[in-house]
Amino acid sequence: MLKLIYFKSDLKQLFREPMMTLLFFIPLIMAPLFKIILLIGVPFLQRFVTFSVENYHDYILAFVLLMVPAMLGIVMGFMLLDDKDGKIIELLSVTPFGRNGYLIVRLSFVAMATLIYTFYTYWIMGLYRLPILILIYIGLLMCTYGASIGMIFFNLATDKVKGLTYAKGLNLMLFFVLVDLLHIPWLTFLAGFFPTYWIYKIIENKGTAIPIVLGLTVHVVWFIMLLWITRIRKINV
Amino acid sequence: MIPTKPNASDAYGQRLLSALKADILFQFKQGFYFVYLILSLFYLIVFYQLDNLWLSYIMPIVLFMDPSVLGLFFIGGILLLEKEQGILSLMYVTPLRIWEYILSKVISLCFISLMAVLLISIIAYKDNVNYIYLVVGVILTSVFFTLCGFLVATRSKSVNDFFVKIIPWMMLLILPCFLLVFYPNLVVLGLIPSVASLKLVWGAYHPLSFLEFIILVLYMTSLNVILLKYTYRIFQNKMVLE
Repeated sequence: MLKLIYFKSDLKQLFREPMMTLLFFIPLIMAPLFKIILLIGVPFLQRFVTFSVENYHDYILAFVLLMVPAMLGIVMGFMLLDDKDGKIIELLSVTPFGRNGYLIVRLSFVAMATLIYTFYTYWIMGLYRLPILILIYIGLLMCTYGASIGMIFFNLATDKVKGLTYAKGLNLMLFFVLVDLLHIPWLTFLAGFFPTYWIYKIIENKGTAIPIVLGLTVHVVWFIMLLWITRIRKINV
Repeated sequence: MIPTKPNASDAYGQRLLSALKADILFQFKQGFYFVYLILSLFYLIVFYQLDNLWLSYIMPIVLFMDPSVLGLFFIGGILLLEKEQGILSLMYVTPLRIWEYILSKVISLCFISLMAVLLISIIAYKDNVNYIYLVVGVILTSVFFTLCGFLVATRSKSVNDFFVKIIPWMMLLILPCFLLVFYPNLVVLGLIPSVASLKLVWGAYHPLSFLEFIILVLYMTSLNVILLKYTYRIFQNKMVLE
């Protein structure tokens, strides 16, 4: 019951701040926009290049899907920064809800939105056919990715300018999706330590066990490490 | 030894230099330089895999879209953070003039843009680059976008409000650039400031006549001067006096 109240309060905060509303609903517009770009841009591009863009649909899908948790994680990061500035976390830490409860609610909010948007984006893009179980699996992994982005923000950014800098830096992780195209062994090895790379690998290999297991491992390790760092740092409490 | 009174222009220069130092240090502490170093390294890795023909198309677009326009976003964060910290309201009790404050922010952000662009271009591009065109193009682009960000920030209540307001501006400025793909020879497009900026950066990697370069430079410089004067007025009225 208590948690439901906090969910409602999150929703209220989301709609009170136009920026949050905008960024939270951008994924709704983003998928059709990408679809339109592909519909217009690909035939145009195809006039100049000899390769078929269709061979790269898995990369495009992985990239667009991952933009959702990246964006939502950053939105949540900014909301957490707002709460830090407003000393909300300090207040909540002395209530039965506590600091951990606060973080759980905030991060599960991102996770739920990510899961919903994953299905929506996949359906709108209609680029690449994935088994439904794999899609659910990817959706769940991306939930932890979105929450991880929120936690990185929460732990590192002390003000919104720093938040902007980290947002720029964190977006670099998206490019690990495209690493296989570059054929650089050390970069592929490095990308293996980042969750984004494994989302692409799972999409590319569909039902193969190795990317599924390794993808899960990397996502879980990132999530647990960030939870541990959050617990150690005890920001603003 | 008779003490000499400091020259007025020396004092201006000294204040601007001090403000510039403080701004660069602040941006360094905030991690701007670190992030753009990592970003540049990443671009270098990607660009190194491409042949020069592809690179001649992709590089000017990437350099224009990312490092050159970084000021558009970062200025909002910087300005509104300083507003929240009460720094702007203290400006009247310091010797720093408002235009020096604006210039210092613009120059410091332009410096990061220029460093990132030069680092990427010098290392990754193997063919001839007209560096005069590139440097001039990046400076004019960076100044224009930073001043646009400055104007939007002066009308914003908070950093979040700034983001909401900057998105339509960004669309308005960046989207016309895509028209160049379909109408590369349409002269009227050059009247749109972002397109004129892109043409300047593009001209460093592709043939651009000296006459067109001069026209674009004069156009962008005049726009930047007008924008600077307007920003000065709005910033003084909206942010400092209020």
